[in-house]
Amino acid sequence: MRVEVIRSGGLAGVRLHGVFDTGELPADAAARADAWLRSLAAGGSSSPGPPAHPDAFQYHMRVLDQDQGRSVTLNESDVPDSLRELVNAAVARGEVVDGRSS
Amino acid sequence: MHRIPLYCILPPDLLDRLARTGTEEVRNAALDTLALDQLFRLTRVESAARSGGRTARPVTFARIGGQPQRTIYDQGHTTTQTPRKPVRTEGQRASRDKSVNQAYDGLGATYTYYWAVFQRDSIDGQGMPLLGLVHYGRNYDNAFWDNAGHMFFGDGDGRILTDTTAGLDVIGHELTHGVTQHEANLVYSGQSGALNESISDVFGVQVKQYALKQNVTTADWLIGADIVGSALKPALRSMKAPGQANPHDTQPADMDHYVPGGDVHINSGIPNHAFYVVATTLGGNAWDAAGPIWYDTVCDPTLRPDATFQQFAGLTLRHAQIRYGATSTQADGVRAGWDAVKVTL
Repeated sequence: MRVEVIRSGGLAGVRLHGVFDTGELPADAAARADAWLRSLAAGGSSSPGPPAHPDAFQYHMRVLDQDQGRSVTLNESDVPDSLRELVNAAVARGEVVDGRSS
Repeated sequence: MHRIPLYCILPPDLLDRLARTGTEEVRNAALDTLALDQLFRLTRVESAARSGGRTARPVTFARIGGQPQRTIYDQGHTTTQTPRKPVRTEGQRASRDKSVNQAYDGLGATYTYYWAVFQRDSIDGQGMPLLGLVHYGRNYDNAFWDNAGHMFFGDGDGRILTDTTAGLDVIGHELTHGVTQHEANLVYSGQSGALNESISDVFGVQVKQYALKQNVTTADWLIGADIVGSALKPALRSMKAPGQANPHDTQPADMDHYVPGGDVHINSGIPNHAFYVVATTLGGNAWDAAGPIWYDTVCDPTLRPDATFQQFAGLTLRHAQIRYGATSTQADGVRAGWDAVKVTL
């Protein structure tokens, strides 16, 4: 599953943009991430509540291929363990993009 | 003779009792404080009468301030949210770990700034211990105050940020989020969120300037210059020139370029630059007049949690006038600052 991940916030206030295929993760981590993302309602989007503290990260994730239209925005403190490896891998590869909007 | 300042978190009846029953040193301090305290209370009552605000704050415990209570913990690259292994406590000698010492020194520099300039005893004004948690996460490129008494430091990934303990301004920035939480509780979105961020930059930059003895001319007015990784060099933000700190910096410098719906770290460029103009217009050190005017504003009970730039600006002018007079150069300097960023007073 190809997933676009955008990280915003943090004390730097910059946006990182990365695209990652869960197939590149170890099989068990990929299965956990895929299952979690498939459980999202198609076409639905959620907006997270206020962050737990200032300078926290926010993650916006969007499925790009077979399950298009699924997306979610999560506060750093709400990222489930199932997505942790995906998020870390996508961020490590992410490019800095101009941080205009939240 | 050395006198201990007790300052004004103690209620007068307790001060009366100390003046009667304390040792000579305590008695003298209490008498000095009572005299000052009466003056403060009068000023506060006058101010409150004008603004309709509250006149007193609850007292939870009494402490003679002036000394931080620091503890640094090593989180061992985990993301555990509670303190793990204590590695340096107040007064202990330096560790072999540079991050531990930098965090210890940065918490100390922040305490010293707030105490020396405002007689504020730590983040809550009542001696709150300062707990620094270093080596949080793996390559974690962030640092934050968790709203519960802990400052977390990531080691950085080298690309976005490097070891965050190296930034005096960053430590001042994060601890100031705690001060703002206690005094103003500004909502962390929209203009109040950008103000919350800006206040952290305004006092973070002063913590660094104060520690390095830089005046408004010798300071670089950059935020995060000591902790940026390769992608964000030379700094995260510039209060002198918002939008020009690094190739990805999109901060606006005035209301003509305000970003509707923008991240709180974006629009904070506007009040940041206002402070820079006020401080440099007045000259000397940022904490001589500009800092105290901003501090009085943050501590003003009439500052609403959902304050706009305009409401905040209006309060800075009011506090410049209260402190220095309606026709003072300081009040003119404040007008010049908000004029420069096109916020109408």
